[in-house]
Formats: sequence, C-alpha cells, structure tokens
Amino acid sequence: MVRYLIERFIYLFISILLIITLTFLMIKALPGDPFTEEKALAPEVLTKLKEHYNLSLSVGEQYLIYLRSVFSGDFGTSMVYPSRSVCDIILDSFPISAIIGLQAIFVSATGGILLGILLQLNNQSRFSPILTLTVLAIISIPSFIAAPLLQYFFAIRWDVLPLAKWGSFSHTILPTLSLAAFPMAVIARLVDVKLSEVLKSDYITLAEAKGLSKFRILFRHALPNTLAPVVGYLGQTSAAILTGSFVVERIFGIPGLGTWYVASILNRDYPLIMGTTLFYSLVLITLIFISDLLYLALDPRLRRRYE
Amino acid sequence: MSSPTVLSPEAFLPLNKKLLRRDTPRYRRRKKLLSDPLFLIALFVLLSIMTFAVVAPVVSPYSYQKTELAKMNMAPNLSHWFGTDELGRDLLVRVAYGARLSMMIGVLAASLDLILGVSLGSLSAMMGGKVDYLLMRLMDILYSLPHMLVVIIISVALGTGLTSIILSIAFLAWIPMARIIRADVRTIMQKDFLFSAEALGVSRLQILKKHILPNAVGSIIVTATMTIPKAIFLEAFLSFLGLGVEPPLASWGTIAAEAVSFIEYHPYRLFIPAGMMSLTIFSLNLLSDRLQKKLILKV
Repeated sequence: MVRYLIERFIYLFISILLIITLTFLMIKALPGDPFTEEKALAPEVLTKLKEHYNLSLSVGEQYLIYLRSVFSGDFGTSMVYPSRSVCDIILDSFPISAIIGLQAIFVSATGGILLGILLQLNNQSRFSPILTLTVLAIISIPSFIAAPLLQYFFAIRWDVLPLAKWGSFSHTILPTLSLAAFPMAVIARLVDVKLSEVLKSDYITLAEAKGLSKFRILFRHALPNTLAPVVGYLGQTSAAILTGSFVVERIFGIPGLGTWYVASILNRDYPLIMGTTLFYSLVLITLIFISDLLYLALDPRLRRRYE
Repeated sequence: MSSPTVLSPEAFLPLNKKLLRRDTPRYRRRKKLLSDPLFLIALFVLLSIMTFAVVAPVVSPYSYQKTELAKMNMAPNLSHWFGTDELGRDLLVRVAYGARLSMMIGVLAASLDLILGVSLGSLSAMMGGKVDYLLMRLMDILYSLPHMLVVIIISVALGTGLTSIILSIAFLAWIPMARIIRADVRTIMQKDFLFSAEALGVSRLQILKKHILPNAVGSIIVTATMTIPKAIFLEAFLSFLGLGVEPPLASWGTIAAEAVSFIEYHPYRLFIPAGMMSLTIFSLNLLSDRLQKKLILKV
C-alpha cells in the first residue's frame, strides 16, 4: 500500500515535470512571437521588450528561469494584457469554470449511475436495444455539438433558458448539460457492464437464496461493489469535462478559464498558455490521483493486491 | 450373402471438407457477425456516407471553394440540397469534402496508432525483462498526461495543417493499443502451440507473424475501430479551438464551427454537418461494440 502510494507520487511528479518541459519546448517551437504584428516598433524598443521578457537569453537559460518561477508559484504576466498576471487571470476565471465543472461532474455521476441501473434492470425486456442505442447515440454527440443544439432548442426555439453569457443559475444549466451528457453515457455503460458482472457472482446467488428482495440485493449488495470502478473513472470524467469546457465556455460566452485559454492560444500569449496549461494539468493529474486513491480505498480486494 | 457396397473414405471427402470448414471458429464468428442486424445497419450507414463522400463532389456542378456572394446563406432547396454558407458556397459539396477529410484523418491516425501500438506492444511482451519494464513505465507516464492538453500543445507548436493534426492525435493514441496487444501477446505466449513452435526452432519474427498476430487480430480490429471515431472527434475539437485545417479546406469540424455563430437564423448549417459527424461516430461506435461482442478471440 505504502509502496503503491510512493510509486504513484513519483509518477505524479514526473508527469508534472514532463508537462512543464513539453509546454516550454512546444511554445519555443512556435513560429513568430507576440511582437511580430506591431510593425511600427523600432528595433531598440523590440530589443528592450525581448530583454524584458527574457526572450534574448538562450533557450536553456529561459527554461531554468521558467522552472524556478513555476516552482515558486509565479507564472509571469500576460503578454497581451500586460497589467494582469497569469495568476490573477487564473484565480479570477477558474471559479466560474469550477462551478460548471462540478455541476457537470455531479449530473454525469448521478445520471450515469441511475441510467446504468436502468439499463441493467431492463436487460431482458424489449426496451433493452432502444436504451442501449440511446446511450450509444449520446456517446456519439460531442459536447461542442451538443452545446449549440441545446442553445438552439432551449434558448431560441422554446425560449425557456438564457442563450448565453453568465449570471444566474439558469445560465449554468445548458453548459452543464452539454458537458455532462457524454460522460454520463460512458458511466451508464460502465455501471451496466460492472453490475452484470457483479450480479453473476456467488454472493448474489446466496442473497437470492436467502430470499432477500430484489431491491435489497441490488442496492445493498450489488451496487457498492459496482460503484468502486465508477469512482475510479471519475478522474477521467473530470478531465473530459474540464477540457470540454474550453469550447463550451466559448460557445456560451462564459468568462471562465476555458475562454481565456482559447484566447491565449489564438493570441500566442506564451506566459498565459504555459500558465493555464500547467494549471489545468495540475488540476487534472491531481483529480485522477485522488480518484485512483478513492477507488483503492473503496475496494478492499484491490488494496490486498498491493500488500 | 452379397457383400455390402463399401464406399471409399475419399467419397466422403468433399462433404467432410465443407462441414469441417463450417465448424472452424472463424467461420462461426463470421456467420454470427453477418446475421447481426445492428452490425449490418452500422456497416450500411458507414458505406453510404463513404459513397456520398466519394461521389457527391464528382457529380455536383458546384465547387467546394468557389464563392458566390449573391447566394449566401440559402436554406436547403432544390439546387442546393444542403443550402449554402455565408460565402455562397454549396454546403453539400463542402460536407462531402469534409467527410473525405475527417475520414482520412480518422483512418490515418488509426493506422499510425496500429503500427506503433502493435509493434511496441508485441515488442514489449516478447522481449520481457528490462525492455518490457521501461516501455510500460514510459506508457504509464505518457498516459497520465492530460490527453486533450497534449493534443492542443502539439498542434499549437506544429502549426495548423493536416500533418500536425494527425501527429498530435497519434502521439498518445497508440498507448491503449500497445497495452491491449501486450496483454494479448502475453496470454498467447503461454499457449502450448507456442512452446512447440519454439521447440521446433521457429524464429521469433516468424512466431510473431504466423502464430501470435493472427490470434490477436480480433482485439486489434476492435481497438482500431475505436480509434477512428476518437480521431474524428479530436479533429473537430481542434477546429472549434481554431486549430483545424486552413480554409478553404473544410472538415466536418470546421464547417460545424463556422456554423455556430449563425445558429439563430441558419440552424441547418450546423444540423447537417453535425448530424453527419455524429452519425458516423455512432456507426463506428456501434460497429466496434458489435465486433467486440462477437469477434474477440478466446484462445
């Protein structure tokens, strides 16, 4: 168990270091820089600007400077919005993304589990193929297609929810739904498969032989063992939801970190791209780490394997 | 007592051979697959979309890049079945070109993934020891990176274009394939017929080619059919971020992304390419789902 934890920690560290290096190298490999478009700049001013942003140093030196500042929590200032530090931008906009993200994770987890149980219960009925195909259809609609479709029907056609922008709870409903639909369907399939495995095991037969009600067998005996892998999958789910939010936030005009991220890519705002990518990676790697640990804690059989 | 007519064993041979062929696992699997209505439907939809992608631009009188401002944003009608976009370009032809591009990206990414995944996966399993350990750790670390972010970083760095999209998708996509192949090869290597082959002095490459890969072909096909929709999806995602193919080229992703700002008055511009893309992803998912249920070999 301790060995497993240490091993995972080492991986965590290596992945973060790898992401830092990868972002740095990739941004360096980019053609052009943020000053290429301002043709009126005098050469002296350009030199000064490059010196200010350490662009005149060698790549190795730049990397070391970057590494040092990252580990002291300083991501630098945005090149396009010089008055704002990358940290400020992240702290300002991430809570907005987090609200939508958490709502989407909640909806996809509860909806997915319920849908999965429904799938399993209707296993033998004639609705089974319809349900399976519906779930498969939801998996085939990416969030960036679901978002404008929901916008069209709920905001334009029926006019029941706001089209875009940010403000009240009702503004969060459509973005949350468009982000949650895909992971919900994936979780539903996972629950369905795991549940059918669990329901075939001996202890369920025993419970049936004891004469327990179907309801009790399902919820008291089968479900807990089914949910452990679902928790293990939640890390992946949150990753899908967070990255999906880049586009969805843009479509709904939400001032979250995703919108900033896309803008920074289009503006080639190096510090902002590096800072945001790093921040997102940290969040994702940590979330996956936590969900792995939870999975381990929930399933004693897995824990034993590492002892 | 007359002696009974004795038929020579050879007389049974044609019949026997036919019966024997019917009894091979491969024959039974194929039969099972071809009698599965869902599999056939998915195959039919995919083939129709492919035919559309190949035939429509050839038959249609319109070009995918010629702009006709007099005809901008026309709703679907008899001369433009799918309508036109804000530059008056015929959407049917553009969607068909988009289908070509999206499917090409999907197939190329899946082939790269197949080559890398199968070679590294089987290498890892067959070498064992240190090579196996190092490759597995490398995969673990690469796989713990946030997938989408890596795809974004790579395609930002390589610039927009087909190659950069395919490379950025394939960079991490081979890992699941390599893992599955490795697990498969390891199970197959435990089988008695492999010990016999080794004892007979068959070379490792021959063993891999003749005995291991044919037995792993089920999981290879299933994993590859799963990669194609993922690649189509990732390409569309990149288009929405502004990292897609350059205009006037068009993929389903770029056509849909362009349409989003016109959703209020010209919703058909989004519905058609988005519907096509989702239908393709759906059929591919269905196909791999059915294949998975019927094709995975139990060696």
